[in-house]
Amino acid sequence: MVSKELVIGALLIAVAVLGIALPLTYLSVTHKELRITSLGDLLRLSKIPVSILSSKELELIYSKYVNITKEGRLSIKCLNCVLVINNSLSNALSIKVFKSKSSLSSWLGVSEPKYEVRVGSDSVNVLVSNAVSVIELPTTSVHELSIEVANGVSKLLLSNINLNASLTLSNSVLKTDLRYLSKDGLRNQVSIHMSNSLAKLMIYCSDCRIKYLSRLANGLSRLYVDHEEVAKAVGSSTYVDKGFSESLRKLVISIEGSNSLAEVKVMRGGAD
Amino acid sequence: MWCASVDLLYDLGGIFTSPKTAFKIMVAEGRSNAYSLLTLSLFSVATTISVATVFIRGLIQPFVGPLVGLINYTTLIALPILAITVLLADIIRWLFEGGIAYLLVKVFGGRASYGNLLLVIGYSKASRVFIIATSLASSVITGPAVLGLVITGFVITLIIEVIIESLGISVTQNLSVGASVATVILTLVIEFVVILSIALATTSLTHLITGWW
Repeated sequence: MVSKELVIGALLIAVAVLGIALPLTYLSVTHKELRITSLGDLLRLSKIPVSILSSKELELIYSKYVNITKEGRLSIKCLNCVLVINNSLSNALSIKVFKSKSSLSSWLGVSEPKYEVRVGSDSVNVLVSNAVSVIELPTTSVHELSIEVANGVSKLLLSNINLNASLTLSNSVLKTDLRYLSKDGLRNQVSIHMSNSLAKLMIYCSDCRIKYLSRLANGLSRLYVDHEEVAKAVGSSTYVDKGFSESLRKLVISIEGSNSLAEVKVMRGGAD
Repeated sequence: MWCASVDLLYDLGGIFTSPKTAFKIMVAEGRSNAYSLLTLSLFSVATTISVATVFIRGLIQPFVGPLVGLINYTTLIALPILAITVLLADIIRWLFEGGIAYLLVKVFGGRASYGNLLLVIGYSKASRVFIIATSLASSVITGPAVLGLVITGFVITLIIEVIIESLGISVTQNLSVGASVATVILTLVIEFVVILSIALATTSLTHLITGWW
């Protein structure tokens, strides 16, 4: 029979050895700037349940610009922005975009890169060209998504395949926050927060359960319950598709504040 | 070699379960001070690396991009150097602590065996297992709780170290437990005062030579 002294002695030695081995492993592997060159690497390290569309360009981007830590932080760097995709929450992605043109340009060592990043067909697609002209995020797996843009995003496109919904914002979007809650449940919600200068808002939807909530920072001015009221408020019915189905009549759209709201467009999306 | 390893395991387990008996056995078997030096070295290196990593992790947290890689590469080179430096300091402290304890044991009328004092002091450093364990445990939490956990580890280690050393000195130096506790605490106080004095003297000397403050 093994004595307790022997067991405790072995445990003490084991803890001491772990005290040396684990931190060194952590430093040498976990926080090292990892070069992601394959789908396997990304899946293993990022914990993002997606697949990568393989292409030479994509591999180049990942090998050069992607940094993933064990905590699930994925950063994609580009000329005009740094995208930090943090998937530390199991079903959530949060993306931050910060514009810093000159410093990042020199940091990357490239003058005018134009490239496209796709992280799986059903998760994150980021198309970044010169001035962050388009950021596209079609996803079925992302339940919560927040995007913070410093300035200068000329076009932001978000879509959800399951929801058949897409949103396009143009011009000077200062801050955008979108939340997809309970994808398969009865309550789906998209909320948009903008400081000012919203020039154009287009909402496409074919799912009556989706609630779009758009807020402008300058204060609540109107609340529109359905598409007819939206059309009336906009002052023209030309923007509203006459072919709304009965289910689409239940679409709830609320818009708060409209200092410089130029256009609201509600259209029928994919299949009814 | 195998017997020596088993002896070490028994000794380490023994000082945590029944320290008096363990030290009696060690003295009776004439345990070499190589065992206590090995214990001291292992736990010194493990403590330095695990605690340093806690701070490095906190340092890295806010960064993404090339800085993370840079910090890690630097750390991987610097950490072994730091661990060896601390180990050398710990060995010097071990010998110095033994010397102070030797004088105090003599004052208190004990047996005053320098070799046995080194044995006790060296083995007592196994109490650092609590610092190591709390540092490792802190890797799964974030925020101020990390610091709290590591400080808790330090406090527990200090208490256990004083207990093991006191009981060990009592057995090996034929002193009462009270006198042994006094020896250990006075040793720590004298050691602290000496280290502080050396640090102050070094700073003053640097100031005199270079004019830097």
